[in-house]
Amino acid sequence: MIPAILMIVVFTGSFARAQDSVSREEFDALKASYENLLSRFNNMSTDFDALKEEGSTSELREELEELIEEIEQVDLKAIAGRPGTTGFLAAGFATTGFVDFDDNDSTFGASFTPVFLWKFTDNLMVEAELDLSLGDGTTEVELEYIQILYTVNDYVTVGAGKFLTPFGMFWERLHPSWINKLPDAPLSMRHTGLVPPTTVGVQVRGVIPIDSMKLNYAFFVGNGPSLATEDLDHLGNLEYENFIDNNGNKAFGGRLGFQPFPELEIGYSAYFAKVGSSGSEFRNVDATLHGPYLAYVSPIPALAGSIDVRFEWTWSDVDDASYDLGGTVTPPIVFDNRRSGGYAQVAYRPSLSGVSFLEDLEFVFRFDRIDNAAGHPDAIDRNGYTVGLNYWLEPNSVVKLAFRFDDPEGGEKNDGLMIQWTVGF
Amino acid sequence: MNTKRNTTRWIVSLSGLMMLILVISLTACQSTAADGEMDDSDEMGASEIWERNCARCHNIRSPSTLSDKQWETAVMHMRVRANLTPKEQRLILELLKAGN
Ligand code: HEC
Repeated sequence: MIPAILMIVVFTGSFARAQDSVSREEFDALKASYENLLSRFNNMSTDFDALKEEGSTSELREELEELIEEIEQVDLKAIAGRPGTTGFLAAGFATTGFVDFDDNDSTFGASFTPVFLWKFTDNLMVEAELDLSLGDGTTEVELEYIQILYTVNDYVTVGAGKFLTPFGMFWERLHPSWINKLPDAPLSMRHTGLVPPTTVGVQVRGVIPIDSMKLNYAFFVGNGPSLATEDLDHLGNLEYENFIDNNGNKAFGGRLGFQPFPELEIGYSAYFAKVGSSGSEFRNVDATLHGPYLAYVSPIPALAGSIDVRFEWTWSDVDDASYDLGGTVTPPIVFDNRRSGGYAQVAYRPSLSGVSFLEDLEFVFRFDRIDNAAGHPDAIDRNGYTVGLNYWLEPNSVVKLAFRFDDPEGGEKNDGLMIQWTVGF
Repeated sequence: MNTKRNTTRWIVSLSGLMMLILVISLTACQSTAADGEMDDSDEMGASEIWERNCARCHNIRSPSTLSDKQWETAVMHMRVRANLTPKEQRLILELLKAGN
């Protein structure tokens, strides 16, 4: 039995082996071809690795080099264009317009008022404004202001040069045509008006916060005005273009403003000067100016818009003097040289109305007045009522249409139409 | 002459008074309108400081109209003109720089 089983096992085993087995030749041939393939594969994979490595690094290297070169160039450009520490801003405004007043032929006009600002450090800056306007056959250039400003500390800034007089608010805060809501200045604020537009001198100013309220102050000393003693029309008036002082006495003055909250400011200004030329009979003539101002500007949801209210009044008192116009008038002219004037203005812009056309419109009304010295030979008191309609193209560009109704107390009426288009930049 | 002067004095005082009344009533009507919206803190945020301080004299210009460097100069200019405190100046400048 056992040998039979063994036989079967051996037989079946050998049968199975006979089915699977390969000959030595076959095995060797297979082995050879396997080894051949293996070595080819190894070669290929090293080639591939080498290729891969070589190819990508060289490409990468190329890209990297390009990048480095680009960066170097950008760097060079950046260095070349490095802004420096001085901040500079060219600002100002352009004004174009048309006026048609009773006393003159209608005319177009244009002026250019560049403002240059330099900020050297957080404390030191310079501001300058030129006014280039068209005169009769000429272009007139005025150095409106040039001031060096230094911030001493949180509460004190010192300014020196020719600056907009910190008296009231019109000249310092409202005179640029892109800010002034009407095309002209109120009577008391014209260059021949009551208030000195600019002062050549020194000012000290600042702001003192009191809780959420603020008190601002400005004090100044300057050349001050000169007294008009030759020209009958302006006799006894103060002339502010006294850029080189006519006497050794300096004018001084100041302004205090109180802001209970940002939208409201109430203030008072005062100014004292000796105005007669030294050596002349007018050398002891004193002048005093003073007056209040008020500004309220705020959006009022109940009115679907914003409102801008301004009020400013000035009293001028110049010592009485006798003017003989160089000996040509006898007896000399003597009068009580007290003048006053100012304006009240309200503007309304339906900026919250939700209607885009209306939002850009603005309605303005201004009452202005100048009260000249009683007994002056050629001075007429005047009231003006000006209505204006403005269209704001941009926050810094407006087209103004205004009509001024003149109301002189004696003399000719001088009504006028004014159109102005201005851009502030 | 005298009557004219008296009339003038009258007009001036009246218009001054009217202005004052107008402002007081507008302020009153504004603060009642604002009461509902205001949060508890009295401190103004930077954008409120900007809107309330920079619209007092002229329209507000968009932060995008100037570069950071230009704003630094303009805001320093306005610090003097608009009597800003150093804190207001800093917050407004930061806001303008972030928004341009
Ligand atoms: C008290 C009035 C007033 C306030 C408040 C005011 N500005 Fe001005 N702003 C002016 C005047 C006036 C000018 C024009 C300067 C000139 O032409 O002499 C001006 C000009 C500018 C200009 C043009 C560039 C320049 O400096 O002349 C920018 C920009 C400006 N203001 C931004 C601001 C910002 C921002 C604020 C808020 C911090 C502000 N203003 C608050 C009065 C004001």
